[in-house]
Amino acid sequence: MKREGPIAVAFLSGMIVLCGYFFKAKPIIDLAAQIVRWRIIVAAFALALGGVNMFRLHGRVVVEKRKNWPYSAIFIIAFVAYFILGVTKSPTSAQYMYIWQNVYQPAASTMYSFTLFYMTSACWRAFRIRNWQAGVMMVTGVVVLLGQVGLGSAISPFIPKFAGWIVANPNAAAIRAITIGGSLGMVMMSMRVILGLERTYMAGGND
Amino acid sequence: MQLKQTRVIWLVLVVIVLLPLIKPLGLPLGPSPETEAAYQFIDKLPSRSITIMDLSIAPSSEGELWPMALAIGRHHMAKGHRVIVTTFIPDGVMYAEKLKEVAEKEFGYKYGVDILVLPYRAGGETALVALADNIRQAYDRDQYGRSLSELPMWQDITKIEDIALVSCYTAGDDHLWLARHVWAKHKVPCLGGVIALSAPEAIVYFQNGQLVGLISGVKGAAYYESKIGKPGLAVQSMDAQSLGHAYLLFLMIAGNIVFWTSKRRNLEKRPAGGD
Amino acid sequence: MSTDPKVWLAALMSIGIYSYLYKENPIFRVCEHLYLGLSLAHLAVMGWTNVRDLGFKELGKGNVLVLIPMVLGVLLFMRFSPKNSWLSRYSLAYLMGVAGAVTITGVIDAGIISQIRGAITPLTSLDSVVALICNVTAITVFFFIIGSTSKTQQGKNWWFERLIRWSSTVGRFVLMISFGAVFGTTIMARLGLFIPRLRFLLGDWIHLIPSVK
Repeated sequence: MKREGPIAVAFLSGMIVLCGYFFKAKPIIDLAAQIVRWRIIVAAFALALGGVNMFRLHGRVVVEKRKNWPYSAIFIIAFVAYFILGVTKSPTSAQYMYIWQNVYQPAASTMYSFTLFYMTSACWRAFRIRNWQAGVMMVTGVVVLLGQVGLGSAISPFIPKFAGWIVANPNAAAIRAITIGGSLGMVMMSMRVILGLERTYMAGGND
Repeated sequence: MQLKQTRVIWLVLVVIVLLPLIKPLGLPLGPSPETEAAYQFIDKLPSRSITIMDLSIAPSSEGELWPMALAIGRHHMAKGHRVIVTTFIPDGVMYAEKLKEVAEKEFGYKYGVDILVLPYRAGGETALVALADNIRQAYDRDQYGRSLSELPMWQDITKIEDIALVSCYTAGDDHLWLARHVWAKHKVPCLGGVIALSAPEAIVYFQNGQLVGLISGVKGAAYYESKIGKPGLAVQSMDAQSLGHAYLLFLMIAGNIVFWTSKRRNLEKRPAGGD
Repeated sequence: MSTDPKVWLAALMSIGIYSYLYKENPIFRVCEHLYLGLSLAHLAVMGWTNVRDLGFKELGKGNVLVLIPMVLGVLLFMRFSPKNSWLSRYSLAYLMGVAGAVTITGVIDAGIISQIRGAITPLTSLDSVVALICNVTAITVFFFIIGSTSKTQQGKNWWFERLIRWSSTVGRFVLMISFGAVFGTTIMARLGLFIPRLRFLLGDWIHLIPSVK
């Protein structure tokens, strides 16, 4: 039951959805649609997994008063209070949105904007042309980079046109090749999951 | 020493990006055929057409995606299209609220008649499949818990084919999901609004006709803003983008010059016969 | 300078996070943990709204079948119990099985057939010839079996294998062009994150930059 049961669940759920797509029989289509809709509920539960896990970790830090425990306490207070607010009011309530817009959103945007600074450092220290492949990549990158912004047009109207040509022709051709290869890989991997040949998602449990 | 150098590089970056925000340079935008195609398609949709906007925007992609969603939303509203807003990521709910506010305040849109907000659904691609295959079964209540059957706009929708255009604004794969499940299966026109990074990949879907238009990054958003005659966040950013790009380009070239010069110098210093 | 407490709150959060660029400090760590708590709570709240609307409300209407996905959802949390963590495999199997099937139904048309159809265009212009060459050569880069046989096995298909090897060399060149194009767009994405923050801090907060809506 520890291995065979989940394999059977993956097989049945996957096969029913596939049959719903390939066979035009209403009972199968309806059952497939039901299984797809149910997945939304299971995925919704999964959204809380990360929060619960972090809550356990930080909770332990606070209870045992380990090093830097006040930060963990801040995490727990923020997590619990915001969760209660969201559940008792609504995510579109004025109070909930106030915190989202004035605390969460600025923090998140700022956190992600760090990447620009690291990229700037990388431009100075890491992007080296060491061989012809890096050279081709760099030259294309520079043309596309300039073509993206007004500066390219200001230098010469040819630059954005050439950048557009690169993106629409050689780049598109390469992306097509990657997409076809990647899609074949996705189909193969999905079939392996459905047929029970791919079981890596079962890692972590006993046995 | 290296830390000091890094801080100087960062400080110069901030100053260079800041200057054009204070005093815009007015650099030209350049062509964007994919954005033009998107504009033309929306512009030709008849008034009262129903469109879906999937605002899968998060704070991490807001800078690029919100200006384009706002510009397209404004275009839809100026043309009198009815808009259904939805999202497949948790943060998207907040941007849906913002767009609804714009519709009501700027265009006098009435909720339930001209605009509708469908709730967030977990599951990503699966949730979109549920919407595409049977929109009526996928949703029975709106974002605020109201029964959809009570809303006049919902009466005109029985299936996805009743929708004139489905557009997405995403830093993820929503545009691919649209091509897979909305266009391929139902032949409902789809439009992709993506971050600049996704553009080289998404372009093939536009070329194949799987997407009727493609808006990528701040440039696409700025182009769209100028097309609808309402320059906004993206247009204001473009000069700063230009100078920021130029600075990073300079760093790359200078870094390589320093690298190759020091490499040559090291080779010259090395004694003959050594390896 | 703004007098709106909302703007001040957002500005202090932004500055608190940016202070990390100088060096790690307690203010940054407070903001970081606050952000982490809020973001995970937001995910959990959004998950709850789905479970409430699609699960509990349906159950209230008498739809008992909805208990199946709800039980599967609860089983996910068994991961935290070392003894019963295997139970969560059922939920993962369900998530993976359906996602796999949905992927198959989507990519066969959009990712394979449409892409091949898109690649086959009449050779009426130089662009279409370039696109065809780039396409074929880029595909051969992923031919890991043909062209990789050792010298001792060579013989029968020597010319063919040589052609594939030559083609994949050109294909690598094409792929580098594509990666260069992706790289060229990366900077815009990163600046696109930073400029709005700068505009907020120096515009909405300090009023140095004109505000745009």
